[in-house]
Amino acid sequence: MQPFLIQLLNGVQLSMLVFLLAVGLTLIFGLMNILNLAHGAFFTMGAYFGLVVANDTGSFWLALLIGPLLPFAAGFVLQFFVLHPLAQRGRSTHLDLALLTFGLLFATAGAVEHVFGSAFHSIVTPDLLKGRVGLLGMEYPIYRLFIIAVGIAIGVALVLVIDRTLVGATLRAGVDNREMVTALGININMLFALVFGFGSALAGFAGVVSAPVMSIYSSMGIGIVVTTFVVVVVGGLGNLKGSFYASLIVGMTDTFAQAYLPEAELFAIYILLIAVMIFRPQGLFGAVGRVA
Amino acid sequence: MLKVEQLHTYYGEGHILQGVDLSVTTAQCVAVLGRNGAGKTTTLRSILGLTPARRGRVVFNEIDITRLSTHRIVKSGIAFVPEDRGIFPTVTVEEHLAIAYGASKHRPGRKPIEYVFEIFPRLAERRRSLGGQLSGGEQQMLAVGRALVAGPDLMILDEPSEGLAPVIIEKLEAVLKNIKASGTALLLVEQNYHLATQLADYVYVLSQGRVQFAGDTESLIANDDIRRTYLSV
Repeated sequence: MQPFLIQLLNGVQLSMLVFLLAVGLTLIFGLMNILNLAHGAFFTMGAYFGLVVANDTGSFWLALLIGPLLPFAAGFVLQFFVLHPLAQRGRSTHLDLALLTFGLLFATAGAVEHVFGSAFHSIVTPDLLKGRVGLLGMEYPIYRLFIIAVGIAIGVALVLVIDRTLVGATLRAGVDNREMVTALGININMLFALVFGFGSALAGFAGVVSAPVMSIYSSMGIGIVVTTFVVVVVGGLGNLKGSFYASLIVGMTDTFAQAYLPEAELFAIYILLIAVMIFRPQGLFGAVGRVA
Repeated sequence: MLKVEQLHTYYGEGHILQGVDLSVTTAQCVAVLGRNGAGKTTTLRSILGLTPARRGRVVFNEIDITRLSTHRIVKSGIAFVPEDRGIFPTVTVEEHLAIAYGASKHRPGRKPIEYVFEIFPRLAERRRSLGGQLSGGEQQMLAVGRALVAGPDLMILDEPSEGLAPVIIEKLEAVLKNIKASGTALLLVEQNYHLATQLADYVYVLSQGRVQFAGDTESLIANDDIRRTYLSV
């Protein structure tokens, strides 16, 4: 078995990957109240689009930059042209949305398998991040440290944007009182579609970032969307900081269960989900908030 | 400037507005009075596109805005102060004004947020406070200030005096008089008969979704029948 510290770092690394997904989902869920199971499809889309770019150009960095653009466009289109018109016709209950996006999640997996086959793919680790570094007498892969750094950087950047900028203030206002934001002359449907696209792009970004350490395969988004939902519920819907801490809890629970209690790995995070739903449905972080 | 013709609005099957006509001209203050459930708030919401009318027409500055979405209606020069004040609990005072300022880039008459702080010095002291931490009076000042920033041609206010202490209502009255004097028209729904008659040049009395009386403020004050039947004052 690997030493404790390695497990700890692996846990943080998984947590940060899940965070990249959860933060987009919590924005979409918290802001627009859209139960978006298709979030996993955007993870898959980003990974495969990144794979295509990496194969064509040989550059991981271009893949990381361009890969998220496809899920951005797809997310924007889904919200602006499909989900918003449905909501206007009164078809936006959680069940309506869950069924629709559930369909999209599996349709995407099927379509990807049709185009790319069922093989497992990978994007090669860029030269800059290859190898290992010495850390407290052990060696740890640089790329995994890179994932941790990226997760923290994006978390900090998002908190700054949401807390300190006008766009962030407008988003908070939109969560508080959507109607009043439109009554100030703001096209909230456009804003929401952009946020939906941005959240989807973050999922796609996570797909590319994970490619050098995890495999790319057609149904990769299905399992992770469940984990992501656990994070969003544990963190509190729409709670950005909560989703960061919840990512750590879920990522650590998963990693340590795998390492020390392998028989519990399959259900550890779901026990966490059930316990939160029973005892603190508003999430562990934040006193008030939407109840799942 | 604003002309509402034969407005019919429904909530589900409920026929709330049954043919409302009203108009507001430049630099005029118009009050809409009536009991609870008369259709006053619905009239305002229909003008703003928040609860779109099913039939009828709303024309603002010669443009038919009946079917426009709310953000476009607002952009054409209308600002709104809703009944619950619409203050965002997680947004600071300064940010409230900055959002309104940013959203009215296209308006030549928009006011810098310092202008609002001059009118309401109390808001300047609380500029970093969150909307949820403000008192009722401060929230109302902020709601009016936020509406002012856009430099609207018409400001629509739904029960601005509701729940406020008498001293604050006096202050509000003075501010609204100044806004009117500076050339902005006001369309006001108000339960406070005294405040409404102090401010308004022209009055509509609604009952059961229909206009029961329309006339200048003096003629309402002189008309005991209408006041007793529809306003209980």
